[in-house]
Amino acid sequence: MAQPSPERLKTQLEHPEKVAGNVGHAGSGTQPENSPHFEDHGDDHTHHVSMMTYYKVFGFLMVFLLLTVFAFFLDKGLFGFPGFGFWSAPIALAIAFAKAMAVVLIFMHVKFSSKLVQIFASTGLIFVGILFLLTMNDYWTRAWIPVAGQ
Amino acid sequence: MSNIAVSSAPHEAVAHAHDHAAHEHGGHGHGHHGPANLLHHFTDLAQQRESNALGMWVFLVTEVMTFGALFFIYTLYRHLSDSAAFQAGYKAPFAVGSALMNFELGFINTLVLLCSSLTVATAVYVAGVRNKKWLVGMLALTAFLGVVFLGIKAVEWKHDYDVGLVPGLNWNPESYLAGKGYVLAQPTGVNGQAYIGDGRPETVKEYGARRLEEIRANEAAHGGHGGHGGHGAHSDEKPKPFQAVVNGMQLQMFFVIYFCMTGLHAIHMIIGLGLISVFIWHAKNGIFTDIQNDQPIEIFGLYWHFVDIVWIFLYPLLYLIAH
Repeated sequence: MAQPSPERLKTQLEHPEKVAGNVGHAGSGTQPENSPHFEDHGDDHTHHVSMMTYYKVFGFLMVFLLLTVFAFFLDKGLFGFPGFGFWSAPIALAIAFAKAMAVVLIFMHVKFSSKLVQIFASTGLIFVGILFLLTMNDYWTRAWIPVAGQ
Repeated sequence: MSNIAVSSAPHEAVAHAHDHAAHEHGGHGHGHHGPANLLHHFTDLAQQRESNALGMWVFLVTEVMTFGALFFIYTLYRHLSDSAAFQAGYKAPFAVGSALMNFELGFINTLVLLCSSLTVATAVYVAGVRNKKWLVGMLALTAFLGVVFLGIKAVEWKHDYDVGLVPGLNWNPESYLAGKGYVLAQPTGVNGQAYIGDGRPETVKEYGARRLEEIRANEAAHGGHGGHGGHGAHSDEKPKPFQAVVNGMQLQMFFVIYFCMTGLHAIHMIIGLGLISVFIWHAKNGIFTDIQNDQPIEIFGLYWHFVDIVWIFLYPLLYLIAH
């Protein structure tokens, strides 16, 4: 495996600001513990979320649960409402998505996490999105063109 | 998870240009390179915490893809069967299936899981402030809510089994459906397309009402006997008037999807409960609170919240389909 030349290693360890990327930067885990650029405050960078925030998010989840059920009854014709028609599923999913975001961002601390963790968390969404979009793209458009066999 | 072990690991020789012993951090002593829960391949707790979170998120992404595939199957079959039902003049099978779910129990289950998310977030918080009593309490409360959820699920599944709604096991829901006012279209023809009646020229509604009368007359004549579907409507419920005709094969597909998704979700809950019990035992021994060691609780919290999120999506998609 290629190793940096001694000059480059020296630059990385002593002048990390001149080097692109993460190597040598304070808090990157690539500085030895005795270097002046080593950054360990003795804590572990936990972002403390207060209980008040958790309670607020819980309240939000309760409100949206009631909203979910209310939307369902509206759709069935409560108060003489004609129903959402095609928009039933998108509305239900939007409400569920809002609840999921609240849990992911606050309860799972993604809002307070590093960009790396945030990117990995959103990767799941992106790939599931590709699964849905590209496959439904086929099935949803099957009846659009009158071809024999469809 | 060896970072829950409190025993100190032997000091490793690290290649440093300068004298390592001259730089101690935070009074750890004995040449340790950090607190007892810091594994040796990490430079500091922050890096370890980040790696822990990242590793858990990679796993959760794979879980998202797994459940995502099942959600896709749901989407596809709901789309296909809704289109078919619209063309045939039947009610959407997924809407009928959803109407056969227990609305109250589904709502209570969702409430229970949302509360358990709060309790597990609280457990992470109290682990952060090193409060052992509250940590054990919150984990126990989360476990209790999880057990309540599984218990309610078991009640729902038992009922589905009793009325003959379990595909592959005892699918025979005709009399139960008749009690609710639904009539199965007889599947004949190409690709199992449902075919109206016996060739008589009548509308779907006429066919349905007529067939419902036939079924109820049959039941009355034979004393309501018919295998596992023999319970029909609940004894305390009047038979409902005719609601709709529905394609039986597509309704069966709804229940296949229902049992697969809630089944996989229940397996995840059981695994979560297993993990919680281990964590409660470790918490009682002070592993997470004798020193600042809340990272495992946080990682477990990520798993539990994920299982909750799956249910947040499952609930409206399975229980709250209006039409």
